[in-house]
Amino acid sequence: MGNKYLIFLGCAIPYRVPAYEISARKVLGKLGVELIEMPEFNCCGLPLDPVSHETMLILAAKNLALAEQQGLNILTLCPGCAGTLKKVNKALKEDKALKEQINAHLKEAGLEFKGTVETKHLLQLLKEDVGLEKIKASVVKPLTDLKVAEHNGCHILRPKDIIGFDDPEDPQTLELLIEATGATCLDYIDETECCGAPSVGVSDKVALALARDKLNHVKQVDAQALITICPFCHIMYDTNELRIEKMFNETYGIPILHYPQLLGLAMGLTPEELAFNELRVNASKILKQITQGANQE
Amino acid sequence: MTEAAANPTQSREQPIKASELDPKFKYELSKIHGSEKILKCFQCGTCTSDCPVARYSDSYRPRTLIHMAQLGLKDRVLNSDTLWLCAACFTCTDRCPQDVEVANVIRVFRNLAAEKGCFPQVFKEQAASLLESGYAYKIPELRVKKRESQGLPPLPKGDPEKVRKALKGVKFIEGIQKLAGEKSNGQ
Repeated sequence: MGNKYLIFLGCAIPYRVPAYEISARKVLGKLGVELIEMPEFNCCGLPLDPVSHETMLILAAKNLALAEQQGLNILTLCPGCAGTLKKVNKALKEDKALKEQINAHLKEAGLEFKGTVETKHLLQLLKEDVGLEKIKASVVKPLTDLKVAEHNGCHILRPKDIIGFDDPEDPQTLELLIEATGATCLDYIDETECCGAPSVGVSDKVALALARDKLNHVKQVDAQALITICPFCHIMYDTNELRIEKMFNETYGIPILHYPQLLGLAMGLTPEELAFNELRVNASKILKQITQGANQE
Repeated sequence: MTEAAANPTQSREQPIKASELDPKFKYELSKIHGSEKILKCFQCGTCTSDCPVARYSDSYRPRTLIHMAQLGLKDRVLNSDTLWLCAACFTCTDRCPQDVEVANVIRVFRNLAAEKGCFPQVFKEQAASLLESGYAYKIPELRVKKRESQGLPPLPKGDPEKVRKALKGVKFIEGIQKLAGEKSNGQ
């Protein structure tokens, strides 16, 4: 199947996080990863899992069956979508009775799940398929003076027996990918902690308290930006940072960047090409530093 | 929903009447996909102590919920508002020394509560959007149009008709469709 992937966007990215998609497409293009557009895909199923596991299984299996018809593996930008498609693929391949039960539903829509494609998230693809060396070689403007912090989020790492490509207790991939751009990746406490996004709407108080603690820890190490690889984590910090500042009387001013935006800058792409204008928290300070640094050379 | 039922930490302190116990509940759970291992929980508390939500919430305690289910306090568990606070981060699942798959057990509680009609409004909206568009979040027309000017390819079709066909016979979805039907008939 080579370096060719069906791109799966899910719901949250086209709805609220275009900068992630724009920057990811630019960066993957430069790295020679070919993205194939799907004429048809639906929600991965995860949002409905809390109320109906069966609905989630059917929706995920439907997407997998559609990809199987194309004979191509799936690439997602959202860890929630990746985790769901991986989980369901594994569950249906291992449990024949469950597979039959779900296929009875898919038959109504003229589809069948066979279990012949795999799903990868952007991070896993960059690590395993593109590789660190190729990413380093693509860097033309190393971000040497930039100090940032990483936020992996939960679904890119857990549950470990399903996701499996990195250690949930001490993840390495994102840090290595950040360092490949020339930037420094700072350590801080509770790095692997949840952003709180899934609790928004049920208890904003709990969700924002989680995000606040995280931002406090990131601020303590003087990180100039926080790097995410999940649309929900990004919304949680970027959209809510000002709200958290007001609510808890804090000041952060920490821009939240999608990893491909960071890599794109190091590849020499402009902030406009990487949709920096879509960010809520102003990133002009670090952009200025990066441009000035480049001028001095 | 009474206040005590909405908050299991408080409701656990309420005297338990033998008549409200369902001794078969735990066996029922042990046969449902996701909560098969609930009987293996020996109440060590790893899930609660490592839970990021429990740290900030006065009421959400996964261990308590599992304990209540083991005791047979079915109604108190399923009517509890705090069930819906779990962020599904899977920290409990990864760290449980008994491999109970705690996050999946919580999901089963939620699914059972949803079958009874007890679930937050947000899921009703997402299910409605899914049946209408194939996407759980209603993507505004403006966003779809803006993609072109941003140099993005068109969105894949959600094909809601096929989604509805595939979801035929799913209890939760039928409940949502029934509610929507009643609403449109009432108008």
